[in-house]
Amino acid sequence: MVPIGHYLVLAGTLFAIGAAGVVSRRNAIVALMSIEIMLNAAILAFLAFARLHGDLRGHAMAFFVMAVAAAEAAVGLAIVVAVFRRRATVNLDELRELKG
Amino acid sequence: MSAHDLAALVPLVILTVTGALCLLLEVTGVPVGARKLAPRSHIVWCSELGLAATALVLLRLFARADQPALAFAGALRLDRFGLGLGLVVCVAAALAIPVAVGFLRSRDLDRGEYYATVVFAALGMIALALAADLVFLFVALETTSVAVYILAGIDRRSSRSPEAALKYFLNGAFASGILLFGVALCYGATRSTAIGALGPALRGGDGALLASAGLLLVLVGLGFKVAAAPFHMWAADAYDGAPAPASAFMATAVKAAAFAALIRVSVNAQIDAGSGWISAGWIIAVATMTVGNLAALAQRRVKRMLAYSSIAHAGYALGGVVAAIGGHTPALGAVGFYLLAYTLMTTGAFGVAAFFERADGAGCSHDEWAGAATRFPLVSLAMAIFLFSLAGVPPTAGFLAKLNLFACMIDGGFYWLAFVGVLNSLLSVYYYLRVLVFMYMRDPDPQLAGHGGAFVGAGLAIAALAVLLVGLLPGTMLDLAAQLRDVAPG
Amino acid sequence: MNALRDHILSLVVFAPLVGALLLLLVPALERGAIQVIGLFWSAIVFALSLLLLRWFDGASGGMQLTEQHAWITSIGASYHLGVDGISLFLLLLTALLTPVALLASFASVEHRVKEFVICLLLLESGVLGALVALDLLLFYLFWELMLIPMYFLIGVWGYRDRVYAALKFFVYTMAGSLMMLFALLYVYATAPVAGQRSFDLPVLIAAVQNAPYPIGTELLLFGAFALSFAIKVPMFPLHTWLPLAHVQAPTAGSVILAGVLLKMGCYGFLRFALPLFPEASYWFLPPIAVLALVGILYGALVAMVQKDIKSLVAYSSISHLGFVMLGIAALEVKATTGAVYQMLSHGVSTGALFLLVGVLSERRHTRLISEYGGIAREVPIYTAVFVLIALSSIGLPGLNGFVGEFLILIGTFGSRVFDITALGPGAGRWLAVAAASGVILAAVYLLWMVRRVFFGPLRNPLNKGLRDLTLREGCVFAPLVILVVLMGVAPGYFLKRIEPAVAAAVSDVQQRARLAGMGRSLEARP
Repeated sequence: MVPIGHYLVLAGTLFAIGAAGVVSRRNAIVALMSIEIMLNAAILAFLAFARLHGDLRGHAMAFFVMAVAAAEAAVGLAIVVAVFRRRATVNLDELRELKG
Repeated sequence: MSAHDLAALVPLVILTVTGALCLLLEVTGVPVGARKLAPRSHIVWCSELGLAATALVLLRLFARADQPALAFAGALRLDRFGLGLGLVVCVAAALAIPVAVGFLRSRDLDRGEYYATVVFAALGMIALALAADLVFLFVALETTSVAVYILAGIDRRSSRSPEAALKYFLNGAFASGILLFGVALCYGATRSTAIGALGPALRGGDGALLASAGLLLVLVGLGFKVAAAPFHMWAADAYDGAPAPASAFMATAVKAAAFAALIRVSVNAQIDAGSGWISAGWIIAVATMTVGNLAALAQRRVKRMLAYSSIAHAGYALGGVVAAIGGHTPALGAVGFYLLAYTLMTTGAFGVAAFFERADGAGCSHDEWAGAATRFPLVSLAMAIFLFSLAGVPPTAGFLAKLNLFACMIDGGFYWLAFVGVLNSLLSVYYYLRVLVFMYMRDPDPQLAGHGGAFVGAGLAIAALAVLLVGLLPGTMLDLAAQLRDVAPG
Repeated sequence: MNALRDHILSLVVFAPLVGALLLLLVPALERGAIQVIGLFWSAIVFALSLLLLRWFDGASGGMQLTEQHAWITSIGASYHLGVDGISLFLLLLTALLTPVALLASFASVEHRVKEFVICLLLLESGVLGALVALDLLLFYLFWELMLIPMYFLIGVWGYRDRVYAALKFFVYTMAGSLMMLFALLYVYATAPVAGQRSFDLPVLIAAVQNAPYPIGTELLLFGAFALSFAIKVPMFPLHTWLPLAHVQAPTAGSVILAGVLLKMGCYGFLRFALPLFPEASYWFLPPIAVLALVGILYGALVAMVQKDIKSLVAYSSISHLGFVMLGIAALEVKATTGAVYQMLSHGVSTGALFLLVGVLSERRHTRLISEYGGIAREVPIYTAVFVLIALSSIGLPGLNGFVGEFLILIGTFGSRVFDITALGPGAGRWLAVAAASGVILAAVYLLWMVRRVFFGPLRNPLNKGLRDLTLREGCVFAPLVILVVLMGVAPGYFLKRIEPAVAAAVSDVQQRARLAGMGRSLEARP
């Protein structure tokens, strides 16, 4: 059996990869995907801890997160589409109408 | 299902039904009785009534909540703190809806979904203010956030609104991710997701480090939501780019609810008065107010100035939170009162921006507002009241709220925090007055136009009168605010 | 009558505010109608304020006609008003100058008349309220309320650089106010009041009397209050906003600014800073006296080289207010009574001077001294009034300016406050002597200006046929001229009522400073 620690390390790594992705990638879609990775890292951590504690709370949380992530992704993609229609780009560096 | 569960459910159900009704009314068309009204007035009324009913229920619960009660197996805590900030959210939503009507009509956005989204967002915020469990907190936060992302991008034919929504969304979702990971760590450390379990876990045992890391991530996530420095960068773009009525709602209600969650988590963590958390908190508070004020000084668009000013105000409130965490409980009431005053004046100020805003964010710069006072004297007068209140000049709500907050900081021994707050207020005077310089002391710009109407007028008038009234006779409000002290399970 | 008597202060304070609100509701009438309503209303307020004279007991030095009601009970702020000899005549002066200023601006203010009148009335309420408030929060509220209408008066109806002047005025004053707010909150939060916290001035004074702050803290707190008041006075070197504000403000704004707003700084010292922090006052009085002296001389010297009549009068204000501050700093009954008297007479004289300058610039749209010369033959009545007022401002015996300055100088001369300080024994003497040269300088700059403007040959053809004072303008100046003479020949009427309050305040501060430990420092100094 794989020890719990390994799962946590994996979760932490995924979280770091996701966070790095959001900060560094300039494509909105990629950033969105990175955020999804972060959420999934959290789910993994929840499940690992649930296993560690031997209770079901973490499992329930995983379902909540999946539902929320779906809603978030739906709205996020809709926004990306709206931006693309209007500006024909989803590159964050090119979206510079707002500044001052 | 206990009586408390039912009681907690009532406001949330009312808002759900109201939101659904708003959507339904959009589809069914105008009822016979309402034919003579302006199109979709009935939807506005429907959402306002729903919010009023919710506020009444919250008030009732507030009156009865001398003994805090847990509902839904500890997911919600019906205490005066949460209920009070829930009321602030109701006020914000109830004011943000009427001031939006003029702008929405001019952009043909005056649809049921706008009002429904506001109502659903308010639902999430009230839940957030009451959340006593990290899982519930996360879900409530996401309900809020998703609704507000939509509001930010509601003007989808404009080029600014979707861009603002996208930036807001990416930052917000990123913050949610951080917060969620923090929740996971807290769960790992405490074996529970109850916020109340954090304190004991932090103070010792093998989970202390994990719990600290979890708490840190949760606080960072919430710090994003309240736009605390250094996580404030998104706020200017989001509030400036979003349609002004949406900004009015985002900048106030979201902040009030997020502050509620932030306070609940941090107070429950029972941090030692001398620990690094406090120093970090006060550095962040000072940084937030200073950064917001300095950036606001340079702005040439009123909306963007207001966005930075809202960051600065978050800084003052954070100062109060620090005092509260440092063990000075009355500061909780002071923060609550501050958030109420902030809500009134900021909704009003963004409401005036909504009055003048045209397509693609035009009509919101200082230059365009030149001479507004001669063409629109009443709206300008209202704006003057809001701006003086934001600057903290008596006899307005903003002054009294600041006074109360700074007095609490001094009382709690945070002299320097109060002093920096006072200096920052001075800084802010300059940029608030600059708007008045343009409105009152420049020659009128003939192109300036506004979207009047009964709703807008009523919304602005109520906000302005409330700012004055709370500033002059704050007795009742202060008494109510003084009861917002009970956040942690005793 | 009793009910009226019990609430006379509230009535006087809020009557202008009510007038302003009523005007706000009135639809945009004709310009004339609004002006007449405003004038009428402010005249009624003045009449009401005259009732104060009737009910005021001149022999008592304490607070009179007090009112106290619950206001914000949860934070211990109450609605507490009262008047004493220090504030009484300032109150009357404010109530008098407002209708005068309104009447004077009938012709000169042409746009947004309604807002103009509203601003003036609001300003009046703010000043009156600040003069009678005995609750620190209430005082702060009125104190800031003065700021907002003045800001608009300068910024909207002023001259070319009005926006900058208004902003500078606001930011300077606000900077001081916020320092005061911080100190005020500190006192509020830390004063050892029994039971609930309080903003009430007598309560706080009693509390800090029982348990004084450590001297370091008290110095800081006094410094914060003093900064705020010194900016308002304004004392050298915080005066830079004043000439700008005066020159850019419309005539009515200048009149109110010079006539009453500046006095609020001096008043604040007497009412708040000194009684709350007596020991620290003793430390601060010598530097204040020196700065006041510098202000007297600096203001006079700079006034001498002004090309613009209005800025000359503005700098003369700095000089005259230096006298007031010197009198307060001397902390001696005669000197401080003189300071209060000087506040009044400066309000009348300088107010009148600004009005006179306003008349001239209304006619010729310039205030440069070089544009005039020899106009005495064209406008004899105007010239007579101007010369009379100028003489009173100089301090000619028999006119109002003399009494205050004289009292200040002899009081300072005998003052022993400075003896224990670094200035050395007998410092009062050289301060008084040096300040007396300010009187001479005043004669120089004012008379020189009068000569250049009114006498000599009429060189500028544009001044030919200049219109003399109209009947309306005559009505503006009549009360001021009467006061100038009255206050000069019968100062006793005023002094009798001022002195008891001043004596009480001064001896209170002296006594408590000694109790609080000035005795200590007296012994410490060989």
